[in-house]
Amino acid sequence: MSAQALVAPFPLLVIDDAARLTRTQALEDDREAIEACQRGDREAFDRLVERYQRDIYRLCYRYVNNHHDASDLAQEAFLKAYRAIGRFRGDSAFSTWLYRIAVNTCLNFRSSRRLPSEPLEDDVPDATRGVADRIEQDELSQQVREAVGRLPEKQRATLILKIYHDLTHEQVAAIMGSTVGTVKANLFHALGNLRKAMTGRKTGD
Amino acid sequence: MWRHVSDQTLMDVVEGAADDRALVHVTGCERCRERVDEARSARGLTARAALPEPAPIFWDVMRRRIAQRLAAVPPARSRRPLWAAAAVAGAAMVALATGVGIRPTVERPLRATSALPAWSALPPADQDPGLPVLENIAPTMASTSTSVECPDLAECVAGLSDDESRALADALREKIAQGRTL
Repeated sequence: MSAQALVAPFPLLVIDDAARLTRTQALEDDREAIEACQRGDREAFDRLVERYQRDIYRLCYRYVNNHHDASDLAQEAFLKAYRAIGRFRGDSAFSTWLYRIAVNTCLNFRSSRRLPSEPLEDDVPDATRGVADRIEQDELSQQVREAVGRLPEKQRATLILKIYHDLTHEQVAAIMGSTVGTVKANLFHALGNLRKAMTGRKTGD
Repeated sequence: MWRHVSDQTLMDVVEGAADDRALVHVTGCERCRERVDEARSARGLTARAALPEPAPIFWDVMRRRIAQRLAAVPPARSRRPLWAAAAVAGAAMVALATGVGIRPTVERPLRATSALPAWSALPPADQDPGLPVLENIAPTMASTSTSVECPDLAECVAGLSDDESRALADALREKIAQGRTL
């Protein structure tokens, strides 16, 4: 019996295999591009930019909540990655390494701008405001994004990476330089604070 | 003794990854149950916070901008420790002296991205007046080259950065100059 025949009744297996192959191929493509970059091939870096620019831009957007700064920060993150790629040794996945650079870039940006991370009270939606406004999806999205943007730094980073980028706890821990337990605790605090912010309650940590 | 479970464990409960002991506690503990409910509710909210998607052309624009800014940055290269550069330089000198390794057994086209050329202005080996000088110093350099993990000399030299290539060229010129004054 052929392998295809064995797999055919279980399409999920085929999907899993395909996903695994795609992931393996992506890692291999990354490795080739990185090695080319390390030999001085600038064009190889463009392949990495093409592959990751959406994720990095969205990560930055979640941090700063506006297109202009997110675009600048994403570019800055890629430039930093290019300057440092000679030192990349493959101890972690390239994506993990790149995310870490992007997170640090965002944190430095916020620090230099002295954007407030706490408290949340000022931007907490007033429960007495018009119900019609509150149920507008766009407005709700904006409110949630703003509330996320005002979480304490580590909670915000953890929530963005885990929920919006669907990374595993282990990947987030590698990016944040912390442990899986800390990641879970930070995420739990982040969700609790987010909920309180959205219901107009005072945040606590 | 009644103890609340940790935030880490409560997160496991939210994600459906907690063990039975934690689940039993949360079921019977109003405070922990309330916190888990809040976290679940917040998680639902996050799913509704979609980002505004930029115009499709934005991605091309951003790639071009990054490429333009990269043009002002020196090419990225793998950095080697100085001892490695010195060792490779020594190996190159030995190879020059013995005529081994510079030309691969199998003829291969030059790489378009080769950064070598800092010393490629040297004359061909059969016309190089410095070669006899190098032959004299080769034995002393051989001890250095044995520590180099460089099975293919041409490949190693091809991987040198501009600075390393220049250092190699300078070292070769210095040795040749010394030999000529002997």
